[in-house]
Amino acid sequence: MSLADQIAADVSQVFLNTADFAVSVTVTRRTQTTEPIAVIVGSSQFQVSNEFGFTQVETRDFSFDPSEYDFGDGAVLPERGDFVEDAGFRYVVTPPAAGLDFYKLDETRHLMTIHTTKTGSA
Amino acid sequence: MSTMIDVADAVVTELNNVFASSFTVPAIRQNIPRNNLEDLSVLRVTVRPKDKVTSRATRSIVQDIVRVYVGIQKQCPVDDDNSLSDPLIDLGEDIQAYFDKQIPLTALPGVVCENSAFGADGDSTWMSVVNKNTIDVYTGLIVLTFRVARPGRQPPA
Repeated sequence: MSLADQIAADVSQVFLNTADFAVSVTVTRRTQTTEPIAVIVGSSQFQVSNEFGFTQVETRDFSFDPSEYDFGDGAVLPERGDFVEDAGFRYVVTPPAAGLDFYKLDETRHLMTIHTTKTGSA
Repeated sequence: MSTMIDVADAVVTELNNVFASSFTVPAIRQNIPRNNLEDLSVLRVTVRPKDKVTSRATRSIVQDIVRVYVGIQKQCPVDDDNSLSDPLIDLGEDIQAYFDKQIPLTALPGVVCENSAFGADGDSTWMSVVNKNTIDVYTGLIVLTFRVARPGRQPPA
């Protein structure tokens, strides 16, 4: 097995294994919800301001096996407005900036990452 | 306590007395408004002291012109069809109309609002865009102006 094959195998066996690095979340699109998906989470925080004050924003990236992004009719691509529920909070799929993609697929197509913003309680 | 803080606190009291049924959570004073985006999933009304200009009205009376912000904030999706933001604008105008009646502040009798402006303090604060156009927060700002008279130091004879 080549190193590339080994890394690809590790995506599901190690990185997306909830016994190791991953956690389990669900994704909802309107009234449909996925089965629990194993994801790797990365988060960041930043602050925006205007004349009135400051707003603290938390964003999270969720990486997962794209075949699991399935609302019951087969795997689909993420859509803006889909939301992830994780640890009691809601994270809405949004692009990191206007005009940018809100999801990306790695070169091996084994790992998809969506960008989300924390908007409130689940 | 300073005049600015007294007036801002009196405005908070007035808002919570009159508009309690419209608020999800009570209005508060914050000198430096700071919210998490998720806190703004419900309506937040924040009062912030803006500025004070002092002048001598008579030989024995000093008058302070005190301005305070009333900020109305709530998340609105970027594709809002006005159904979420219209009620916020209505609330802003209701608050403005109440203070324009020049009813003395309950907590500071004798102090009335002289004038008000709503959403007129610069386009940048009318609709602040959070997270680079991906999640919007409606921010309606009301600026209330109060005239407060107080005894001044007697000038030298």
